[in-house]
Amino acid sequence: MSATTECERLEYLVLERTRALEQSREMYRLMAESTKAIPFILDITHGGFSHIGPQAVAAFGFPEFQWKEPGALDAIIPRQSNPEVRKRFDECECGPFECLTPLVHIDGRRAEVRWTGTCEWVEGAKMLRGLMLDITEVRRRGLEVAASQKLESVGRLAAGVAHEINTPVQFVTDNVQFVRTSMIDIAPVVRAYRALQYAVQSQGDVIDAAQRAAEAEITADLDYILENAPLAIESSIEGLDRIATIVRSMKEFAHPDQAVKQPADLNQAIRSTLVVAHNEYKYVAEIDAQLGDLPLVPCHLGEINQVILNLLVNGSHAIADVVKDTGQLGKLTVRSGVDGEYVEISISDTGMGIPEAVRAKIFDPFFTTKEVGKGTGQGLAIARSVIVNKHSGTLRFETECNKGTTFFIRLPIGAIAAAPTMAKIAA
Amino acid sequence: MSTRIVFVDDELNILQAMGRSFHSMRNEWNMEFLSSGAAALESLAKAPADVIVSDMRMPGMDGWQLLGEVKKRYPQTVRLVLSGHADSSSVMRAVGIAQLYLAKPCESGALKAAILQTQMLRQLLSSDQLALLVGGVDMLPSAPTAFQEILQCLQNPAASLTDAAQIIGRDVAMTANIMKLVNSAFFGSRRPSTTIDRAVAYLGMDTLGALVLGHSVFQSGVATGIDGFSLEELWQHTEQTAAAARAIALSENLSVARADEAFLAGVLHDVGKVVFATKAAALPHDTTDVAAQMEAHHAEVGAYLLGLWGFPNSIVEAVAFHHTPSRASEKGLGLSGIVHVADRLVHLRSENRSASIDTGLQPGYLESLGLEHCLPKWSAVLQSLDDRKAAA
Repeated sequence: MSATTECERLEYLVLERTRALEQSREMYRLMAESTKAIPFILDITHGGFSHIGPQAVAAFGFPEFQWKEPGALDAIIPRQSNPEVRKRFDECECGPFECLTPLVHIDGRRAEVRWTGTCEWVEGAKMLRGLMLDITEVRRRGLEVAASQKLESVGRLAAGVAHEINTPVQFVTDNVQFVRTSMIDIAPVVRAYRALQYAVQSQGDVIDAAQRAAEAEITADLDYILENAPLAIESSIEGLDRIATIVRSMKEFAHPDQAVKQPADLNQAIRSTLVVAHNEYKYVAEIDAQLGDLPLVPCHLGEINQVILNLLVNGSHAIADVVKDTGQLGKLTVRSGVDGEYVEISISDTGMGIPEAVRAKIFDPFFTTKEVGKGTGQGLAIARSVIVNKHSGTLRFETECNKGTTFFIRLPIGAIAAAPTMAKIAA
Repeated sequence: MSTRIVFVDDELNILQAMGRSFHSMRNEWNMEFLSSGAAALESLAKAPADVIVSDMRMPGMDGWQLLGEVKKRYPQTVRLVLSGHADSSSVMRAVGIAQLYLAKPCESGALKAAILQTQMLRQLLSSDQLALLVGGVDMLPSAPTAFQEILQCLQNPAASLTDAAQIIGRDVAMTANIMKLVNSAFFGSRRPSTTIDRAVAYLGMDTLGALVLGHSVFQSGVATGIDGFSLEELWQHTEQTAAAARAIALSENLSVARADEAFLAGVLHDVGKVVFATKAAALPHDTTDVAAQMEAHHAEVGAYLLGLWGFPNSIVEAVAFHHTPSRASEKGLGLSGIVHVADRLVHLRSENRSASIDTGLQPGYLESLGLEHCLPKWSAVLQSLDDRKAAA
């Protein structure tokens, strides 16, 4: 074999390897650049990106050179408005890095970005390498699902509450009508007795006047009125009281949520949710409420109400499947109490229990065993997200076939270790 | 004889309050207030009632079960629902089992008027047997072809509400059922609707679909063998009569709303025949000539039914007196007069007879109004309707 041919062979080999390398490089570039996750290398020490995927330009509007300038991080995550978040970058240690941050577009719009990567020291500089992903849209869609679920339950409640209010309105109206006509009917009786009084005083025909008074009484059915008018008023007061309770509970239930958790009386929340949901369970279950003494618990009350409502409605549906049209009532037991650092609320039904096969799936979004139109399969998924993600609590259940199911909500009493929510970061 | 009325509700407060507000009726009404379906049935077994007013949702036997049982055992008892429930499925259920649906809160005056109305309507009927016949009817079966057509219309994504309204307007039973539903208090229309278009628009395509496909309100019916009667022929006749009634009303310079009402009355004028055709088995065995019975009594039976279903008085009268318009309370050429003329002229045309011979019109009726000269004009109106149809 001559030297020339050996040389040619090697040259050919280099060409081939170079081409293979280019192909592989191109493949990885395409892969990295064809997703919405933006690859980056951030020099934390100097605050500039030594590498940034070209998607970043389209996604946030900053031209590539601006990303690469030292201090670029200050432009997208300003230190003064987000000191907490910047601290995560500035003080990050070597190892895996996960973070959720707001990010300001070049036009001032706010996005929410998830960062995932690894932090390392490279030649005296702290470098963060990984992917960043704009999750604004995903988050918004999640909020929409939660809002539509809330709307759905509000719609269902509205029908139930309308019925709860219609009943007292019906009998209060009838009673008041009766009192009105009674007042009219009584007038001639009063006049007859006044005539009698006059007859006595003026020594007139007392017998005749007394006779007329007696007749007037019969015509007006006075005994009936005297017996029933106070009862009608009594019943009206009861009815108005009932309406007031429902309206008050509705107001408490629909408590507008604030960005920050507020200390709340969870027993009161349970009571008002029971009133608001009365129409959902009253034909299938009795309520046994065993509410213990609770401290005020910092929480988003409106969302907790929603969770309690969901569990009550699920429980009454489970009972309805058992009692069907028999007219018998099952039992919904609601307990509350303190357990160490937690407040625990439990809701038990006397339904069929959750079948073994679906137990693992009940918290999955869109999982439902209810017929179409009866549930979206979002209730428990959102309940878990509210309790676990937003309140650092736990939501679990115990179930036994043919006996029933109990759900346990546990919420920490102490100052809540804040899970980073967008609202809080942005504030 | 006083009217016996049974009120049923699981809420004691409601019963007591109703008792108080109807106390002034104690001389005319014999009232009983009961808190469960079982108690109501027990009481009815001792003495049947003229009217029963029931709540829908009650523990144990609910209103639907109770009224179903009452309908079976005592069809002549008028069944009213007084319910606070506003979801459409429970209302559709209720409308299939009761003649009238009132929503809580219902002013006692309105309930009283509804009860009095049922008793007044009762006087339309010439016999108890007819009350039995019509009492068991809460929904009417449609002609099978009409049912097929509405099915196809609803499954056709290109079909509009107008198409649906047109098909419904051709079928007596569908029209009656739809109007009953729309006029039930659930749909919130305090003033009864008098046009099919509006009723259909009110329901919307989705509800209409649910009604037809769910078979809860619409059904296709089979006519029981009454000699010389078919639902299909009735369908054809009412379609023509309705169109004729509208055309005559317009030719008399009446308002479009009035003409629409005439159309509705035209569609419904023979609704009593549908009752006979489907309930003939309920007639006593010695009634040999059902066809003659039907001919003699379909007007009063139809009017009674529509009255119980809460149809406006003008329609009830037009149906009741479409053979004898002089008995109607309306002065001049009223709705009953228009339907009467339309009905007769359509019959004459279908039998290919000229209006100059026996018209079948109530003797002396047009003469009393000084309108006998109008007959040729109205015949011409019908002719032009036919011509337009032929041209299309």
